[in-house]
Amino acid sequence: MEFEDILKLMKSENHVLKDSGFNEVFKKLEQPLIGFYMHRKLNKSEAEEVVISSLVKICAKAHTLKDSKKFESWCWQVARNTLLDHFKKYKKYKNDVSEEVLEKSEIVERVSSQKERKKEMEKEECVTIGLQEFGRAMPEREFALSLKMQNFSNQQISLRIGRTLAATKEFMSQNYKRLKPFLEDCVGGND
Amino acid sequence: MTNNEKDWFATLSGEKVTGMNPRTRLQARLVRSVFKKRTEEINKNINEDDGRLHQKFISEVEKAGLLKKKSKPWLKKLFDKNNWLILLAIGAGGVYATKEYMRSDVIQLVDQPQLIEEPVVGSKTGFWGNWFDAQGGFTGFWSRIQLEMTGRLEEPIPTDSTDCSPDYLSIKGCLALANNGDSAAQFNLGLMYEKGLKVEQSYEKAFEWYKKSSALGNKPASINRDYLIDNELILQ
Repeated sequence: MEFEDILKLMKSENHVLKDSGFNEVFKKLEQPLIGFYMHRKLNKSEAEEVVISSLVKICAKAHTLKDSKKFESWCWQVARNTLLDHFKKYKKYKNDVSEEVLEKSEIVERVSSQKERKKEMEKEECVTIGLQEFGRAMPEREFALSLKMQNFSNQQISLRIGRTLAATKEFMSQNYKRLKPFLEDCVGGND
Repeated sequence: MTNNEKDWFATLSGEKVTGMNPRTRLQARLVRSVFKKRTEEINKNINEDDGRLHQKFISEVEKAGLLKKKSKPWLKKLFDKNNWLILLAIGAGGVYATKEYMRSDVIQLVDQPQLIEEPVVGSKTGFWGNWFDAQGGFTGFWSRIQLEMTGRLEEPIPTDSTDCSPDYLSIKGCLALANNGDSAAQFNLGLMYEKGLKVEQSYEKAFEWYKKSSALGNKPASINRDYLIDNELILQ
């Protein structure tokens, strides 16, 4: 069922239709949202808690949405806001959203501190650690990259990260440059 | 985006790219492999959900007043499909068990004490009756004089036993009371016939006495009567 149809059901005055609308939105978003939250470093139980919270908000406010075409992107907007609320509530991941303020020198410093260790590691282990660091510093970029790996289109990625299509393309193109310092020395340097 | 970056993204997405820098390819493949592992781990977690989250969601939505509360899922499940047959069987079993439980096999106390005349001397009149008892025993002169003096010769002597009580049960005593319309005695007769106590066991006779007793409002009698019917011990 398409998002637009689901919204119509959710807005219905008929309880049976509304009920089925709620169930449909749950079916449609449950797994993508858990994946989204777990990629954003929540454990499973935290992710489930935030999923429920997001879905209840979506159900409660869906009737206020006028343009049914924007329903999907609106759902993801609610999901992201709920995640921010969760972070604020538990005071976690200070750098999570405002990664852009992270100074380059800080990243380099963090990476170079592991340089010696990296030499002794296997390549895959080195990349794993590099990606973990990257994820901690720029979780949104890591998430976007993992979506890319799963062959998500830029359009689908844009919905999840809450950017316009053009901004998403730009965001993605920057990802490689941002990631590069974290993977240095893993394969003996590149390009 | 440079060609190298494009190739890197293409390799990350799983595409085969020819003529690219081997180190870049290796790096992109390693990144893909790590992401893949992590994604598989997350997906495994997601797929482990067994509907518990859906139930939680529905309960939260109901709590927020967005949906009307429904009956509990286990209750709904119980009434689904052919489960009503199971419920019926359980119900019938319950009724049966209750009846079994309520079935009374206890001798009831009769309402009125039976007065039994116990003549010390024989009941026959004339010379023989005056001097000998029913069994032909000599009653004696002085014992007769004593009874006459106390004025108790002609009185029936009340006894503690009614002959139809839990202490002493006799068919004769119970019949006497039952024929006078004592429902407890009628029940006792029914029980005696049902169990074969001091009489030849007969469900038919037991049924008749239970029926008479229940007609007078004796509830244990009606339950025992129904028991005989339900267990097909009596042909209706």
